[in-house]
Amino acid sequence: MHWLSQLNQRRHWILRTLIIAATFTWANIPRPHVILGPTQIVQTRHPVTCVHTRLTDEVEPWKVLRSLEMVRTMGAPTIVEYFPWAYYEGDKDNFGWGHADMVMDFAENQGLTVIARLSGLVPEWARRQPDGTETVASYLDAEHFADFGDYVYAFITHFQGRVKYVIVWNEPNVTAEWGFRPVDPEAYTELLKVAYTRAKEADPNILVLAGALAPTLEPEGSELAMNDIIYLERMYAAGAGNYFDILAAHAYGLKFPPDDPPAPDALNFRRVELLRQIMVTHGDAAKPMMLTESGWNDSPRWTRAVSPGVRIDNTLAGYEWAEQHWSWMQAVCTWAFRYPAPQRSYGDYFTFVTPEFVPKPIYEAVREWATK
Amino acid sequence: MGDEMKRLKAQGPRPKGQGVRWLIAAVVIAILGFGIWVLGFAFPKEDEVWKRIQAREVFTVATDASYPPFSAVDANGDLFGFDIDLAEAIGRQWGVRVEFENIAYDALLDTLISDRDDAVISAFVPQPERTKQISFSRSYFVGGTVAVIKLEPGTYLSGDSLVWASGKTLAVEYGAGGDALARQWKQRTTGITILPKPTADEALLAVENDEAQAALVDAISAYSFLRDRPALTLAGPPLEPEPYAIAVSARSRTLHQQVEQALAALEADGTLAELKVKWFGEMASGK
Repeated sequence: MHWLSQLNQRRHWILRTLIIAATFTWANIPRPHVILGPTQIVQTRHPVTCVHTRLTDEVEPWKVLRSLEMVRTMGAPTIVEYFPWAYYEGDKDNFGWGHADMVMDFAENQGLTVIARLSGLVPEWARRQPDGTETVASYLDAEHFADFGDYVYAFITHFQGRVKYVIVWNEPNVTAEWGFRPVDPEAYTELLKVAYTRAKEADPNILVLAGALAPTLEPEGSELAMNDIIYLERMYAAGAGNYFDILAAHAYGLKFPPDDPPAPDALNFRRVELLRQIMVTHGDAAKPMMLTESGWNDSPRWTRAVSPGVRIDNTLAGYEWAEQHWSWMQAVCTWAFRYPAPQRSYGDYFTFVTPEFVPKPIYEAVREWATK
Repeated sequence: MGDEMKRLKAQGPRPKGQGVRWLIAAVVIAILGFGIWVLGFAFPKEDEVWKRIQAREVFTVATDASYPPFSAVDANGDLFGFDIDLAEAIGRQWGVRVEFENIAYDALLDTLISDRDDAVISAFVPQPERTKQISFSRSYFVGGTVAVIKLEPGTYLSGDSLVWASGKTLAVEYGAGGDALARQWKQRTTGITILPKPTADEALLAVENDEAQAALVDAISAYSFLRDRPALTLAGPPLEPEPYAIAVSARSRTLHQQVEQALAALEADGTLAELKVKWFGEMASGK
């Protein structure tokens, strides 16, 4: 058993050598480096062009940069990006801006304007219930509105002068986005008031976007959502008009072309004109709007999708409609530029670029339209 | 140095035999663990889903009936299509009745996880990231992008697709997968002309009318179009294959085996090929 004894003496050295070798090998695996070049300028003939990126879950810096480069070369000067509260304030007042810094630095380098969507995932500490009741990540009760306000303040302070637009929450008229509770326009208006006040304290020049309502025909009292027209009316009745600079809206064309006329019982691209009418009625004609989500889908498996060619035609015609008919529309942001990984659902057919960065024909068509 | 360390040092080095005992103990534990692991395979836990199918003599299948000709609803509200026939054929193999549940595509796998249905048969593309929860069968149909050409000697796609495509006019459905593929090829070689058409059928017509040498379209459109066009054919197997498989819960090991055996039997006795001919035409049978 002499060899066992020798092995026993040597095993630590063997283990150490292996660990050092593995570390050395890992450190030397060639990876794509991210070297930011000179600041770019977006060449575009249509500044209204905008896309909603999905960089939140993109880990690798080179992929973040590649996404933004492709957005720039497509001719879109603006992006909407999501900065979930829970990702950046894991503990109260303990902020970690690493990923957000990267996204903002890279976007700046590519000459892109970022509309920051501050919403959704609520940190566990801000939704903990005294009786231990479980809450979902979109749950935020009035007692913690001030905490969200602190996050808005911290975000804008951190990116002082570098971020011009923030969206307060996302689709609050959908129960899934409101903690699976009955949606509540008056409570959202309270949240908006807190967020707006804190945003302006952080930077008086920041522009606050409200709403980002989901287009839906669900009536009041539905367990799924509330009609966006009714919801916006109730927001105004609750005094929301004093607490936003721009109204964000979502406009999906579904089966209809972009010029399909709006109607209270229709879901189409021009439904936003009904929201606009409410703004005008309440004396907000001077405020602009932004479509922070929009577009058509070309999944062969979704009944509300169109063919790929129709999707391209509708998308371009949608941008043109906004330019020609909506002087109050500052940006038309299409959902979504690229997903980090396949969704394996119809959602994949909203994108412009595959997870592997292969441009789809719609990408080429928008690039051709926006830059040539 | 603390008192405990002094005491340990005073005891001197650990006897050699003690290390060997630890090694033997570790080996015994490893052998026992391996044995238990092997026994788990030899005597797997009973598959409750398969047991239920046999007890009730009913095979419940989730399908998204919005995708003809695989699965759809007729004017009477009855389901029809290739996947419906396939499920019925599997049911016959097992001597059980088949019941269908019409579920939206995105929710199909959830019905397996929640143990609501026994299998998903719905032109379903396997999802590698779901294999901890879901088992996928062999592919029973391959969709994806195909090249369609005129039936002429020397026009088949063999070897390098870029060499084959060079010098050709390729008709495509504007914006679709074939269009994307043709654009990629065009960036990598010379002499490709892309002829976009509003629909896959119009792209295929362009080949028939000699506007293009080939059409890159989805397999389902191609099979349907080629049914009564003997002058046209597939240039080869799908360029970007999209396999369709039957999904069952990963807990249902016996059911998974039974599905595999049933598919193998239906393939061997020609039933699968017959169904493909019935719903997609000769070209889809692979003969």
